[in-house]
Amino acid sequence: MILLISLSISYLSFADTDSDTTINSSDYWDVSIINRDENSSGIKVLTDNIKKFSRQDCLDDVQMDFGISLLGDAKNYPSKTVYLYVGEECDSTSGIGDCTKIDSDITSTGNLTFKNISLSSIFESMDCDADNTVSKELWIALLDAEGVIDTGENDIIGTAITLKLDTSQPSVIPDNIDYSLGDGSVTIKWDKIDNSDVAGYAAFYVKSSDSSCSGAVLESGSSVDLDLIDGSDYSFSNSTATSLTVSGLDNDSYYMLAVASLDESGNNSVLSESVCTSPVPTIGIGSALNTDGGYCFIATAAFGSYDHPVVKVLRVFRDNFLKEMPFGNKIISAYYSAGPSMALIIEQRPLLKKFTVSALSLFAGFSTILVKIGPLYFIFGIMLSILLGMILGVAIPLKRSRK
Amino acid sequence: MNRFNITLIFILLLLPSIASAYMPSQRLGALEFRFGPHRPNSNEIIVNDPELSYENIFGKNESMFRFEIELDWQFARVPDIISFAVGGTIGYMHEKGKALYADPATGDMVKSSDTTTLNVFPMSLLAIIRVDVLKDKLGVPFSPYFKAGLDWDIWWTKTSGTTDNQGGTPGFRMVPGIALSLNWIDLTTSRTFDNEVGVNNSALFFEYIYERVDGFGDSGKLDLSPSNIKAHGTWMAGLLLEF
Repeated sequence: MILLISLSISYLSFADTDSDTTINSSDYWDVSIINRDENSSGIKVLTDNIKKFSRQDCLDDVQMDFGISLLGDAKNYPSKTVYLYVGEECDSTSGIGDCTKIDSDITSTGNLTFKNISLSSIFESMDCDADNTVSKELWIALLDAEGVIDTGENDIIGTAITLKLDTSQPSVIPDNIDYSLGDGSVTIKWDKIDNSDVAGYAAFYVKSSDSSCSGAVLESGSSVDLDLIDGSDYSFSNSTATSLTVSGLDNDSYYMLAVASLDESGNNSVLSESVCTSPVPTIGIGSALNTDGGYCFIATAAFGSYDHPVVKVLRVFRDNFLKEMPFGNKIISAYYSAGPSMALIIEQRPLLKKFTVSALSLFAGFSTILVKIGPLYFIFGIMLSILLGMILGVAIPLKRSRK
Repeated sequence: MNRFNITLIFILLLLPSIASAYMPSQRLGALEFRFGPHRPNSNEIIVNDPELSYENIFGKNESMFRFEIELDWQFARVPDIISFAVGGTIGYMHEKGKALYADPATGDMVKSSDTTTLNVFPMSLLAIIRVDVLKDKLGVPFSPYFKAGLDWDIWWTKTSGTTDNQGGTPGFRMVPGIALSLNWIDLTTSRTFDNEVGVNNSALFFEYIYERVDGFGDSGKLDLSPSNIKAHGTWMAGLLLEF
């Protein structure tokens, strides 16, 4: 049976296997699709991008997500089944061989997604520490109605994806290391590097119990052991970056930090010179200002004490009534802004102060009723009053005038 | 008398005829787009520690870029002589610097990697007097004016993205200024602008602002008075559209 199938690889990405200590390399993966036979029954080259694995991905047995888009009419897929085979041992001449089969069903054409496919069967045969670039092929196969791959002349087993393993280490190491401190953060800095092999930078840190960072394992010129570090931060997008900020640190602890350059595959160079420091609490302009920010209220100025009984009643009105009203918080904010100036004016004018005491005392009594009623019934009562007023004041006289 | 002076006199003699050829429609008010520098007086900004001064955090000569929009309502006019208006402004300005920390080795306050900002919404209510006699009667395209009113600057600070202080400071301002009418440059365009859009006068203006935004002497308020031109002074310029 001739299967006229076109496959399109629409999406490939790699999932982190260990987000704490492994390099997040999903930003720079690409895939190379080999053009098996453009003029035959339908495998087409969809992208010529190259996706690369780093040495760390090889060590961590990175998993892949496959997204496959099947083109054409579903009836052209008689088995209604698509299998993904991962491995090196299957091809159009030898059959499935030792490939790992991933099942999936299709009922119509469209996109299929295979999640978290392990590539360990491929990486097992690779030397992750070899300083070279190795290419492996990954096969996607379709079965016929009998559920077998017919290796006859007109059958197409699938398409291959070339995965390139690049384990070489960048030779450029950041130097002239310096740092600046922040609240819970350290910004590590280095001289600008102008080298086409450098695609980004990674900063690594290890927490230490003492100010000399004794026992910390970030030795200058050594490779990074991701199992021994406490954290890292990466910058892939800017090869000319000269700093990285590591945040989420503890102000009371010391940290040893070092930085390494990264190539396009995510391989990092040996470590730079390290620094040992501790983040510090910082003081911004807001904390530095000696301003009351608006907490001297008119009532406190009039009655002379924040704890005066009338002032307490007004605070209850603010918290239990005004805050619950529409725009109540905005009214309070505006009052906080204008209050101190008005309080100063009241304090300096005895007659105005007496008038304010009388007015606020009267309002305090009324506010206790408002607090008992509550904002909801207050608003309902206002609206009902308006409605009744309209009926009594407008509608009835209007009706009488028409008679 | 050289050629330049003769040319200048010729242009000035032509101005009355140019200006008098344009008869603007009724004026209701004005809209201004204003910008200028604003540098608070760091000596007047009281801080908890002298080493944490505004100057140390933001730098001695740093000015904020101040942008405002003003809307005026002309409630009275003596045609071609003088107009009276009331109006209001609202604007925004901010300053960015580095938060400080005490160097464990020396004890000195040094700049950290954290960003700290001062953000201000300056607002005002103004009374305005514009003298139109030069422009409308004598054909000289200048209109001096004077504004005075009350200010209220709402401010807040942020450090590492978190708001750590806020408040409002009242004050007042007095503003003498002068506007250069743009109508005489192209009378046809200005008349079309008036007929179709309703803008009967557009002008560029420049003004000096004497501004005291210090809570009327309240030492507990953040003093946001400018200090670009001696004490409490700055300038603004922009575009005026009378409609």
